[in-house]
Amino acid sequence: MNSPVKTASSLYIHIPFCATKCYYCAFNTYSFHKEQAKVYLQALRTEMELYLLDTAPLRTVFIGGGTPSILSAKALAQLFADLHTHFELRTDAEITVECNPGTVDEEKLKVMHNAGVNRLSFGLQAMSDDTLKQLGRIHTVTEFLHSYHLSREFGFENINIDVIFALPKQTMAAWQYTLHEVISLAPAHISAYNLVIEEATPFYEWSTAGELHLPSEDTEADMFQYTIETLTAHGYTHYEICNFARPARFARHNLVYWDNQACIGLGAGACGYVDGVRYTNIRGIAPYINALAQRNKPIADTERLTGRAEKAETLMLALRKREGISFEDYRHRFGEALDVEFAAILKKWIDLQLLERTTTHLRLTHRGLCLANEVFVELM
Amino acid sequence: MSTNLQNIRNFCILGHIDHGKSTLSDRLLEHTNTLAERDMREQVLDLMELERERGITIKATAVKLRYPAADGNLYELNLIDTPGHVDFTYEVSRSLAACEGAILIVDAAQGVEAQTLANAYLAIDSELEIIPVINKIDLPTARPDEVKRQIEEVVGIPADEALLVSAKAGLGIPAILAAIVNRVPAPTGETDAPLKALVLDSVYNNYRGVIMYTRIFDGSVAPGQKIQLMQTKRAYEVEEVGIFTPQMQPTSELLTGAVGYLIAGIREIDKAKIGDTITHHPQATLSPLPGYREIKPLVFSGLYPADTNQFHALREALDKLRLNDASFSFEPETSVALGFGFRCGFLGLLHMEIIHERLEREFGLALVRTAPSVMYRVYLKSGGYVPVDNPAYLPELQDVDRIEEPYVNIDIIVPRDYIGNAMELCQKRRGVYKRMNQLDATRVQLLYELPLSEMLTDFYPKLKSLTRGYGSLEYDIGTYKAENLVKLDVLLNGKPVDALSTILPRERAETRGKGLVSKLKELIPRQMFEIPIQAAIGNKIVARASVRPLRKNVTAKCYGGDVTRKRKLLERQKEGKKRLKQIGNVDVPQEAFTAMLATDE
Ligand SMILES: Nc1nc2c(ncn2[C@@H]2O[C@H](COP(=O)(O)OP(=O)(O)OP(=O)(O)O)[C@@H](O)[C@H]2O)c(=O)[nH]1
Ligand SMILES: C[S@@+](CC[C@H](N)C(=O)[O-])C[C@H]1O[C@@H](n2cnc3c(N)ncnc32)[C@H](O)[C@@H]1O
Ligand code: SF4
Ligand SMILES: [Mg+2]
Repeated sequence: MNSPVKTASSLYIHIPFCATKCYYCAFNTYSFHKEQAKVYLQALRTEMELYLLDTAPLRTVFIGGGTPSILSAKALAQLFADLHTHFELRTDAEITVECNPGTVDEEKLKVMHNAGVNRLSFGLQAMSDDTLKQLGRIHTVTEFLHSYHLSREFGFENINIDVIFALPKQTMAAWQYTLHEVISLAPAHISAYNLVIEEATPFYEWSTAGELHLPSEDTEADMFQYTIETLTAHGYTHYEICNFARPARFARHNLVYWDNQACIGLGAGACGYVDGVRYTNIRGIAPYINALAQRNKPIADTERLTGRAEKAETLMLALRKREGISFEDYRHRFGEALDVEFAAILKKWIDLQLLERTTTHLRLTHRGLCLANEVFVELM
Repeated sequence: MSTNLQNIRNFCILGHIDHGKSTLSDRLLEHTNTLAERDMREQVLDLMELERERGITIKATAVKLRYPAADGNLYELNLIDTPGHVDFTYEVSRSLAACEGAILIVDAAQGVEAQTLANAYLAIDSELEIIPVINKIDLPTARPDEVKRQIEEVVGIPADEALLVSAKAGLGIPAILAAIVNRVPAPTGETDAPLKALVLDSVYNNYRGVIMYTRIFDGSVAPGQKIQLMQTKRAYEVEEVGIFTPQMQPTSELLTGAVGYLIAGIREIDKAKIGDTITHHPQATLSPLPGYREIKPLVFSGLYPADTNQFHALREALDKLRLNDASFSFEPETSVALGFGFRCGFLGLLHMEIIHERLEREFGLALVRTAPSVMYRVYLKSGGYVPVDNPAYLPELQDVDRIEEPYVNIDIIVPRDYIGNAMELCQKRRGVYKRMNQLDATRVQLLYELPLSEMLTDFYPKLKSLTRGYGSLEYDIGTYKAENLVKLDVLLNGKPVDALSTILPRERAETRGKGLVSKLKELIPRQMFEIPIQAAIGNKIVARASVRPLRKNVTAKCYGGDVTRKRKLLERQKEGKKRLKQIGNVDVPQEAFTAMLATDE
């Protein structure tokens, strides 16, 4: 972790379109309309212009969603052209695009490859057609495998696969199957998320109605343990609570968030952190486009992070990393030791064996990993 | 405003819960164009958010109607809508004092029920003119003729002129207005005599101080005049008077016979007692109005601030709320587990819940409430007895000669088919059978003596379900009787938690202990370590269970850098934790303190 950089060298671009909405998903995304997407990309270009002065040469770019890969090859080409026109990218920049299985084809992959995209992230979620259907996913396992292999053939070697565990009715055996199948594909990176029941989703409704049949807390904890042990045994480094990578394949863009560093966010509902200010963009597509038609930054909310809040967030984010927070980096950033602000909390959780000190870092213990929110809540 | 008393009618609407009092009020308001159409909504007189959420009336609400009658005169009708639930009978009896007449509403399908009777007797005692109204005649199950007969035979008032209405469909409304004008006597009173007005109710407003709701019996009052309250003898200058529309609307004066409100910059809360008489200062009326009888709480529970720093805020809130509800009591108490709080007395369980909720909503407090208890009399071997309304304070059993607990006389009205069920329930709850009266061809009245403590668990809901909703219940305080009682203690993590103790019959203590422990196991969230839960009678552990340690509480990463959202989620979790009470190092939710209510044996 470095001291905070004033000017961001990371960029997130949000593409708020999906073919249909998955039943568990609360992301800012809407059904895809070709014409609207075209206007949206124009608005995005205007927004890029408004941020010209705020960046250093970019080290990481993440195009996320929604489903960026739902855009046509032509639209994608336009998006990357705009990106390269408005921003300077370092030659070693990590450029990620989130893709949905079933929405990529050779043409799109070619566009991305030519544009310098060097990392893909696929949302697979589960290796079972039945489960995919129950999640409201648009694709089958076969379609996923096709997209994945196609990408590999195109030379994309740095690929992440998202999977979710503790799904409704999921058994331990079912999760183990998904996990081992994913491992057999040998992706560079795996994100394994526990299902979160988000408000305003069909899953939320079903779960309040008692119709969702989620696995018990114990099963969920066992699944998590199993995931950590298995992936570690297969040569993946567990470097963040939900994230596992082959050596040198950590998601550099996500590390920017966990290190609480500056990042520009563009697009409807996107979040950014620039000059010590967190901002969130307008979520709706039409109001976002309208704001940019007036050449205004489409920001809905801002919050300047200072003092205790900045320290607490920095701590909370860094503790998500397996290595934890470096005493040295913290001191460098805030000009004081970690104990100055958090002595009581550290003591409590170290005594309860949720946190531990190494010579250089403070980190979650093995048990603390599963109970991270208990610690984080107290930092609030 | 008319000065002619002959053109004023003061009346209230009485009846059993849900028989349609508030809905009928809506129709009367509409028919007299009291509210603009856009301000109208269902049960518009249920002003409180809590009343609307629960669909019941809690506070009596007054409103002034202007009614041009067939005789060509414009009448001023002061209507008071009252609650039907037995816990709020005090609201009814206070309203009666402001009225000369009452509409007794009876559901055409349900017929006369326990509160119909109880409220009718209150009105008869107050010598009000009673107009029986049979409501809900739109229902296919309506049996108006039978209900008429019940009114005559059971309530004992003539019903041949009972009005048939449907408040919901708006049928029969003009006849009610006409009957009010023709049958309810106009108020009597001396318009020129010194002011004599009754404080019906009051409420504390942070800007205006105490707002008193009043009925003027003699004389009149206007802003700028000096008044005094006869019990406290303090003088104040009237700042504003007005009427209810049902919102408060200032007027230039309140004349004899009127029902309205009065603001006089009163800041000392204890100086404006409900039932006191307002008169002019210095030339006071000679005789104060009779006022209200003090009402004795039956059910007691502890209220503690979840955050121990809020003790003073809680005291202030209790003081202010008591202004608006003189039927609950409170005094400070301490608990080892919960710290400083108050032992509060209520008229019943619903009353207890409502007061708790109002304190939280109207005063922004987070409270922990202990299980309700009755007032025991504990006779000591050394002679004499101590009253005990908190199980934690039960003297050592070796010093105790005997414990007596209060009984109530209950009066259950059920259709014949359910007599068996109702009697079995009473028997199970230690009821002592007194009498059975045949009310009419289909209904009977059962009279029992029942330990009040039995009503604190789910007696009423049980009765309802065992009688398919037809059984109704009314009760009156009875005598004390000796019982073989013991104290059941609960230990969390090996330490007794005084706020979880209960007093109960010995033969039931073990079963209840087991039920309680398993209920607590459900209610107490998993925490960082294992939590043993035990129930004990004296030194004997009668039940045990444990809450297994928490294993997982972690959320997936903050996608797209949305840290603010993530933090808000954590802040919400934190709020949730604040609702838990820390006892030792165990976090206990509010529901745990009332868990014994939910244990079934
Ligand atoms: N069918 C029918 N339903 C009615 C009629 N009058 C009232 N109701 C319904 O009965 C229910 C109770 O009505 P309320 O007016 O709240 O009863 P209440 O007597 O004021 O009840 P409390 O104040 O809680 O004692 C509501 O659902 C009304 O819609 C009627 O004439 N016909
Ligand atoms: C920004 S989403 C979009 C990825 C892409 N649109 C897709 O679904 O394939 C990234 C990942 O978040 C995860 N995710 C979304 N909603 C979730 C939830 N409610 N609980 C846990 N993980 C979730 C899914 O694994 C998803 O692939
Ligand atoms: S999970 Fe992915 S595909 Fe599904 S709705 Fe969310 S963003 Fe779209
Ligand atoms: Mg009502």
